[in-house]
Amino acid sequence: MTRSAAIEPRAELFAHGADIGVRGIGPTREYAFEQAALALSMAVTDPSWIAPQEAVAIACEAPDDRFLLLDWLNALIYEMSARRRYSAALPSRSRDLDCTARLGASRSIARAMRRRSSPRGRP
Amino acid sequence: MDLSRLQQVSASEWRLEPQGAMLVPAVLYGSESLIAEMDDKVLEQIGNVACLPGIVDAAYTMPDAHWGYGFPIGGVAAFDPDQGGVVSAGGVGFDISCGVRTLLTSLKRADLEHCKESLADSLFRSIPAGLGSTGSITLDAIEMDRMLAGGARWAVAQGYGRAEDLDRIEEGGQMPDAQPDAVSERARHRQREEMGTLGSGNHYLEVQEVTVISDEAIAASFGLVPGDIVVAIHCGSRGLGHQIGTDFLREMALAAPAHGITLPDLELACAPLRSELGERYLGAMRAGINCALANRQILTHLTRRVFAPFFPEATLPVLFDVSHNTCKEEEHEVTGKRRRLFVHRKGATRAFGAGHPDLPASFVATGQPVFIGGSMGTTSAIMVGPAQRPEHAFASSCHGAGRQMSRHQALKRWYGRQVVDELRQRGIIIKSPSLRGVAEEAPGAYKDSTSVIEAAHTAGLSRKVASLEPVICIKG
Repeated sequence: MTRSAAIEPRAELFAHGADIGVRGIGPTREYAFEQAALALSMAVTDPSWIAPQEAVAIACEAPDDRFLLLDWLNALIYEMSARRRYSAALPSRSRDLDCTARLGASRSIARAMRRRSSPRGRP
Repeated sequence: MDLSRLQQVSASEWRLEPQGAMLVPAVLYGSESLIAEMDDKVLEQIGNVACLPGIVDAAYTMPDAHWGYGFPIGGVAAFDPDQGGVVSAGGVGFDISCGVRTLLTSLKRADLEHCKESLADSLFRSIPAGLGSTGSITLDAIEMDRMLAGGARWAVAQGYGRAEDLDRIEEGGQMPDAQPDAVSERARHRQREEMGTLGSGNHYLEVQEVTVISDEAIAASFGLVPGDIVVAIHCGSRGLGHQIGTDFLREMALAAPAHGITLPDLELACAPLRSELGERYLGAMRAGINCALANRQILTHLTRRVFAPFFPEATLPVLFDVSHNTCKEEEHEVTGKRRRLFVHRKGATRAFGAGHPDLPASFVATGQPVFIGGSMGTTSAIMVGPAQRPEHAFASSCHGAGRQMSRHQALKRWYGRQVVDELRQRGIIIKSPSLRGVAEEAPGAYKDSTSVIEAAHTAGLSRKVASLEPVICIKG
């Protein structure tokens, strides 16, 4: 067993005075990025509530890993926001700088969205 | 925070003399206990701000300061364009022009009692709140441009609110020199359906009761007497502001070496005020301010629509609208000289003193109203700028209680249902689409707002006028 293979991929939230911190850990960058995306989802909801519904291709390109992680997480935030799927991103395996994400809405958020999406008259 | 690193100037002012790469001192406002309870990260962050090119006088923190991204929340810093000064996307923050608007109602607590539940339900149904909440307005490209250029003036022209509201908003409701074309397609897309929404996090619409008057004359001039009910709306520029911050933070961080800037912290990403990037950010950020002003204007209209069937006589005039995540060009006196400076206030409220020439006529005699938001179950405050000028800290004061616990820590400590039930026992109705969000924003996750308010008053940043307690809170 190689040293890197011994690292179990995992996602973590941690205390950050400004808001909340997300951390992805894995034997490779791809695994770590995947887990960071999962941690981002954990900041919104319980991942066990997430049901994959839609595959979205995301491509990021950056001069170094630090900016790549920034771009990757920001791209996920944008896709969640633009597609109104706020609960989570369940990423499939990242490969090089091309990352594929799978977005889904959690049951709780889906309920909330249905309730809030009832027709409103023009103010 | 280790107080031994600081020099105590007065009961509520502390100073860190320049050291290392700091160009100016750091000045921290707050009582000994507030400063001692602050995370060391606040001192580190404000020390980093003091290293930025062209900074003038000092880097300041307000009594509600806490750890932020790059700049501390509750941080104030001014930069001189003629001295190589910079504008920092991190120094404005991601929720551009987040702020508070207060509406007067002329109602008393007793007027609400017979319909409190119904009013709370109606507000919750009518005020879109929560992560990614959308409103009933969808902006096409042309209207988006008009909104980004026009702010609350655009909203009033669309029928949301009244012309007299505009006199009670900073900049008359329209931030000049906005550049809608500097706002990315991503930012525009995120905002298409988010006008007239509260959003999530610490944003709220709160019905509050005036419980204490500290300055009767000024309170009377603001239209406040004990027992009055007011409505406070706390929100900002939603997805658009976040995307502008994201876009420019990345661009500024990557361009820093070319501008000859060494960033002590990536999130302090900045660009020279006199650079193409700096000017483009200012244009986009001003458009973001207009988005927030328009958003609060639409929410004002929605609130009035909710109150109308319950209280037909209540017109809900605007007391004032303040922003607390901005960079604004202002004239200030520094060591006896008047200078045009770009003042960053991140989690800090502008607090122009009495007689300031940029104040609306109705506030020239008193100074600018300053709103200090509580946290669902705690005291909020209406304050006013100093009686004397020049003001402290480039005419700035605090903006809220300030977090003392991260969201993560709060989630571990409280359940949302528990918070809602406990507050209901105290007569406070909480309505939110997210119990998790309520737990993250539990009152105990914030500092004691009364100590922050007292410290701002003692330091002379702003003066106490009235204290308010929550009655109904629609939480994002």
